[in-house]
Amino acid sequence: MAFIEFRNIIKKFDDHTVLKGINLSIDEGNLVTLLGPSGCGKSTLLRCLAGLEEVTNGEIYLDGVNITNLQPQKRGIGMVFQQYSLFPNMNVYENIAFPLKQKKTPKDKIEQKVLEALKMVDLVGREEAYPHELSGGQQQRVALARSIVQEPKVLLLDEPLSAIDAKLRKSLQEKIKYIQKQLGITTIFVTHDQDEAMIMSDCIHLFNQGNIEQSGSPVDIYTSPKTKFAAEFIGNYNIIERDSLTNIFPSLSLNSSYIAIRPETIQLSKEKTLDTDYIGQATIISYLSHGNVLRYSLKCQNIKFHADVLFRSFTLYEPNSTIYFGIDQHNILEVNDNADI
Amino acid sequence: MKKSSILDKFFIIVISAYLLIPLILTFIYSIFNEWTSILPSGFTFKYYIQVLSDPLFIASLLRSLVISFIPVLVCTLAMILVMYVITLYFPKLERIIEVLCTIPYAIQGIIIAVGVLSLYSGVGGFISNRFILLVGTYCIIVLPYIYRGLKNSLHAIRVHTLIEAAQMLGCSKPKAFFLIILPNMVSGITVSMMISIAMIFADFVIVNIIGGSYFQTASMYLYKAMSKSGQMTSAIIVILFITTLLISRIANYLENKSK
Amino acid sequence: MKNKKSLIALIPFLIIIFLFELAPLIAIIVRSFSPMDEIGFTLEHFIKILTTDLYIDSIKGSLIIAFVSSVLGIIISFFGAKAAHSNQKTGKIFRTILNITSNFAGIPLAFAFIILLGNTGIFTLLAKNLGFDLLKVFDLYSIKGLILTYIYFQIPLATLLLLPSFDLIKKEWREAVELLGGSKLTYWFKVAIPNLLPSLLGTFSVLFANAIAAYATGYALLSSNAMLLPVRISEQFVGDLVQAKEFGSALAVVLMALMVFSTVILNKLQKNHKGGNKK
Repeated sequence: MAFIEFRNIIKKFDDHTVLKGINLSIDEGNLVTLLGPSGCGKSTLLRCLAGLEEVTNGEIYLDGVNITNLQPQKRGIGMVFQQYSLFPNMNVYENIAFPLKQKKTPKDKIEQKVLEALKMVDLVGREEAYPHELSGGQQQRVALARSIVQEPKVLLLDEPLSAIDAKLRKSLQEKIKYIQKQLGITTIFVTHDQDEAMIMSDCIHLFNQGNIEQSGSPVDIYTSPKTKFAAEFIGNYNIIERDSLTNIFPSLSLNSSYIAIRPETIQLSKEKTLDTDYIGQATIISYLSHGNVLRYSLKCQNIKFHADVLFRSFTLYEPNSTIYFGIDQHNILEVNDNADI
Repeated sequence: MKKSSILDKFFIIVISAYLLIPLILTFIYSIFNEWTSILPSGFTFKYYIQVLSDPLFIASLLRSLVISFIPVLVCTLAMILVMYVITLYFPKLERIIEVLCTIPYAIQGIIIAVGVLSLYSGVGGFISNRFILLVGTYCIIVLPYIYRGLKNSLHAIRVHTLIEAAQMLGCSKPKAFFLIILPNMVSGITVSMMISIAMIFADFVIVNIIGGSYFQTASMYLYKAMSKSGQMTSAIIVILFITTLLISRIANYLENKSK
Repeated sequence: MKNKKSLIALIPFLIIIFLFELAPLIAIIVRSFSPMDEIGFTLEHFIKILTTDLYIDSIKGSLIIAFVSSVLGIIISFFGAKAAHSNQKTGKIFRTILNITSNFAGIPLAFAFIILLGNTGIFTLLAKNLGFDLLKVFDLYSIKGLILTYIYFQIPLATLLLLPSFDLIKKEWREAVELLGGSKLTYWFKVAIPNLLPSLLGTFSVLFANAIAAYATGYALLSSNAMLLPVRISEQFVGDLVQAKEFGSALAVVLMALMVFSTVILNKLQKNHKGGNKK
């Protein structure tokens, strides 16, 4: 049995089914991400594990124990919320000491553990500060310290960084990952940001409308999406209907109704000298610069698609010019539409 | 632009004068023996000494303070329990609670007072005790204000996230309410309590109907003094007004301190 | 469900509500339709109210005083709030004055006006010394006098209620109107006042309810000579007359009806206005 097991979890709110029979196993010590758009059920599953929501059907096991009907405070799970949740009437020290006091830990032990936790989140010296005196990032670091100080079996992070600005988020992502590896604590991270999921996770479970669409390592999910939804959500894949593509390349034989091609795998050239498996001709519609990457919008027959090229100023294709594009067979990914299943 | 700002200042000055003159002249009236010509004459504090040395006044002032404080305390405690139930377990009850708490605001004190008096005065026993009737009626009178105050201070914090966070830290829901939610509401609660206390302290209509001669408060002492001496009445007014201001000062002080 | 246990915590609240809010209200309504000291159903109290001059005059008096003092109060407060809003510095002092004087009502207020404008009031004597009979022009112990004192307690209340909604009016609106070539009047009548209207109506409703049920000020000024509905109600239960609970209840029902009626009308106006805005 895995460390955490969800067995056929169904969750309904009134008539609306948010989780449609989730089966999921998580191994001890991993950092696992539940990724998906808002409303896909990822947070709900996390809250079911925490005990903050009752499941409509199914069972949850933690470390071999059925915790489905256990009260949240008895599950031994720590959680950091999206909204700042420090207790406003307590200072940093009191906030972090709170879970230890609940367990009636001796005073000197509390002091020692709080200090350790503060060190871990780089907030030594801010013990006396009240939450409203801290920045959002600092508040979430205290919240993290407060959750890990109780040495939970599992740490749940429910979009903890979504209210924090982009630059700071990066450093906090690294911080969280570092702490997680240091403590070896099993962690479930919920986010709607695929970049964040890529950076942080050992394993990603991609959610869509109450189901798990695809599971795998970040590289797996990025390079071989199984469905149209996964391809759209994870990368900037070009999603093309099968028939449109076979019109351009009649020699292609395809089974799925959709094809996904990553923009950076498409090669562009003025000459027909590309050594790719398939070569076609297209018109440049426009281009946009994304830092060091140039993104071209192209049109071939009636298909519009993107191609990403590393920015080299000496090869700039002007709009309306005609160029050749090349694609290799192994970069043409066949994906299923949900409707097909 | 300039013309309008002069006009604005004019309005402020005229309105302020209208509001302040009766207040200030009442005070001046209370510290002079006579005011029959243009200027008052005979500066004295004797009316204050007279009033403050009257044991009947002191007793009625104390009664006023007691009857102002007790209903507010009772009402607040009852409302905290209500808030406890609706925030933690039955959020759907909020609608009906809100209606029940707004009714007194809509129908005004005098109606509740005559209703209570006519229903219980002749019954006898515990419930017809005038003090109990006053406490009960005042509870209802201040209910809308206490409810608002509690609700606003609940809204000022993320109640549900805080309770959930506490649960995830090994604390039960009820414990979380009293350990975390309530301490964060204290300043809001105190302010609405003080406003309510000041309101009851100044009340005349309800105590006149229900208390009658059974329970003399400072307001009734004042009413009786009116027919005796103008200067003494002014002195009583000033004393009561200062007391009211002190009560609301305490509220402001507590509010600022907790921030 | 074990959550149901928590409902026990509602008991104190429910007892208070039942004993002192619901039961008295129901009792008043039931009593108002009951014959004196008997069980049964009758409309005699209401007929008596509507056919006795004393009661009709008192109802009229209350309505007139409440209406006039609310209208004048809200107009004065509108200019006061506008001034306080555009002058931050003086506005702050003004707010303090409002906060202090909002505590000055009831008997103290009536008495302050008596020593100012009463038969031997300071201003009255002052005018006399100057050879002018103030009492001929202004009698404090009349409906005019009542209105003057009522306005006094309406102003702080109304201004404090209006001030927050003035803060919602954005400076950009005025600038936008100016850029589009509108005059100051256009701005006030087409932009500012329509936006303030909901809060003006809401405030008016509070003022009206506050004035129609006000008792202490009028009673202190005129005692039982005050032609006011609340004075008529209370004298059925205390004071000079023999107690007449059923009749008093009927008077209270009339007062309640007037308040409910005015609230309903104002709510409707408010809703109509909001609907108009949406178009």
